Amino acid sequence: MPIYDLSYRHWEGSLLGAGRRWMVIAEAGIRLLLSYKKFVFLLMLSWVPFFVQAFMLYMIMVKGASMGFDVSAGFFQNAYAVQLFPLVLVTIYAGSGLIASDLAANALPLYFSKPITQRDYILGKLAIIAFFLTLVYIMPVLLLFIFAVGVSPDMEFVKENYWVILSILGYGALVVGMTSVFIVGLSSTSRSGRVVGVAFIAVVTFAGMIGNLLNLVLRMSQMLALSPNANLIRLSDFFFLQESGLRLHPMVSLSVAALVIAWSLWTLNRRIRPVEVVA
Amino acid sequence: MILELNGLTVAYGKKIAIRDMTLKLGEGAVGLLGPNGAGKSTLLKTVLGFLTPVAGSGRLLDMDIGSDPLAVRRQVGYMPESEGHIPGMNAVAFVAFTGELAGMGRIDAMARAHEVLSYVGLGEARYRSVDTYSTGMKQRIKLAQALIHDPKVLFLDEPTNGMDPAGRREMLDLVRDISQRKKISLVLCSHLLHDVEYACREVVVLKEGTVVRSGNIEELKAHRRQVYSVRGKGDASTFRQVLQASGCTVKEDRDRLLRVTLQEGEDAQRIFAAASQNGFQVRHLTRQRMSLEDVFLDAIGAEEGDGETVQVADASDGEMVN
Repeated sequence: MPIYDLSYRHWEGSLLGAGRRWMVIAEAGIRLLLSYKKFVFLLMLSWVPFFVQAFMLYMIMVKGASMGFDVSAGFFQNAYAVQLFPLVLVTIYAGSGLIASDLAANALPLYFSKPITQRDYILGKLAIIAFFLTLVYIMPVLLLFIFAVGVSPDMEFVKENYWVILSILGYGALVVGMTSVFIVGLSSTSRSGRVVGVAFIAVVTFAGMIGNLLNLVLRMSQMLALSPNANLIRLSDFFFLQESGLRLHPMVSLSVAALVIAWSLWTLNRRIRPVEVVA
Repeated sequence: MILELNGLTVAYGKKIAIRDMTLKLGEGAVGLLGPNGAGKSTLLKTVLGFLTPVAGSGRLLDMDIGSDPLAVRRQVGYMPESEGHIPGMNAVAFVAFTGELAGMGRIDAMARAHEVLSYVGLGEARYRSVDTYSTGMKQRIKLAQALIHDPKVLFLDEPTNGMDPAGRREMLDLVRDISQRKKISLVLCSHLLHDVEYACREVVVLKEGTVVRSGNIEELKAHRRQVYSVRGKGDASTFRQVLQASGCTVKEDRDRLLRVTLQEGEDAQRIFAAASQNGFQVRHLTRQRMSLEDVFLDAIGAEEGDGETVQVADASDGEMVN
């Protein structure tokens, strides 16, 4: 080949199959977010409660300190309640711009001009947020349980609490899955990540306020189904086999979660198209 | 044959954008010309599988565009008309990412991204964030991402949009190089006649979703209808009316120069006959070489050619016959 012709060469390689396209989107999104120092700092802060609780757990189980509670299913349920705040922060930071920024930058035609499908795109975006939410929500509680097993002086803790690991995984997966699908769906409704972030906070806050208000005024406990926080509490009671103080059936809360997921998937299906058709 | 369409019809709701289009495009560079709304971009988007035809079928490189759009996209590089990038990435990461989306391995995609960025003239700016790029640079990076997986066919939708004259020329040189020296077939969609004439050998003229003219540009320009510039002394309006009554098309420019397009098979004798009929004295008669503009205006109807939707080429060279 003459030297002047080196500027463009035909590529001799072969293209990989379609199975991993969503992973390409997920990996790129994860790498991009990890390149932001502020976000990495937020991730690190999200783990602070883990270390505090691990220290408490160590003091109770190894040193026999009395802290007014014992290490059982309720301890891990409470650990999830503590991780809820980091979950919200990471959801807003990492999730609100996931699709909104692509819409703002008109990136969808570029994605879809390559051999990827709508499902690949959505799955890739979901994987990004689900990865980080798992990291700040499920992993700390799961590691806390593993730590408890590790430092327990005998097998008594394992015999009594072996099922808790299923509660941790089941409840965590439900919350992470629902939150991921919801924020990605919400992100597809606007071209501004900030608007999506504000909308997320507004939905969570106002839906909770309305649910609690209607419950008080109408004295109908089922109105709490409008409150995201009440639903999460009820579901965690259900998963961790705790007696609930809320008069709300867990199936109602599960149905609300299913509705949120259904709305988000419907929105994604409508909004994620290579061309915007205005008939 | 790179593209073959049979009775393709595409609609946006009730509005028909492409109407019963039957078309065959051979290898090399083909220009898609037409005023805004003619269906140029819609055609590309339909072939890529972005839009579903309501009727008809099509094959690109012998692959059915309706049943296997992903296979089609593996072989096509698409440079969209609208400005677009993936936010937060620098140029080389962005282009490599699009390569991975196309199915390239990460290392291959990264190596190739450096190559194509150098090729399109962004080698020095490859580590800059795409968000900071000028319009011209964004056009180039769109071309780079279209080339990343070494497609067999390139779809370029208005590739010179927003570029300054020098950048535009460089982009057209790249387009010409790709089709002529790199042997990649391309479809250049543009409303700029000059761009198509410079970079393509074949042209397809669209109007309201249908093909009104297609073929080799030089052959189309060597048109069977002769065009003359006429200036003279006497009653020009009557002279003009006589010519129009005999089926000629006559346009008058600002310098009162008449541009007469004769009917097929006629020659300058028709003009002299019309002049003699009403005592008009012909003092200047120049045979015009057909430009792509003439072909285009002839194809879409002259009344649409002088609107703001189409930018025409520079005036063509004249050939003195008398």
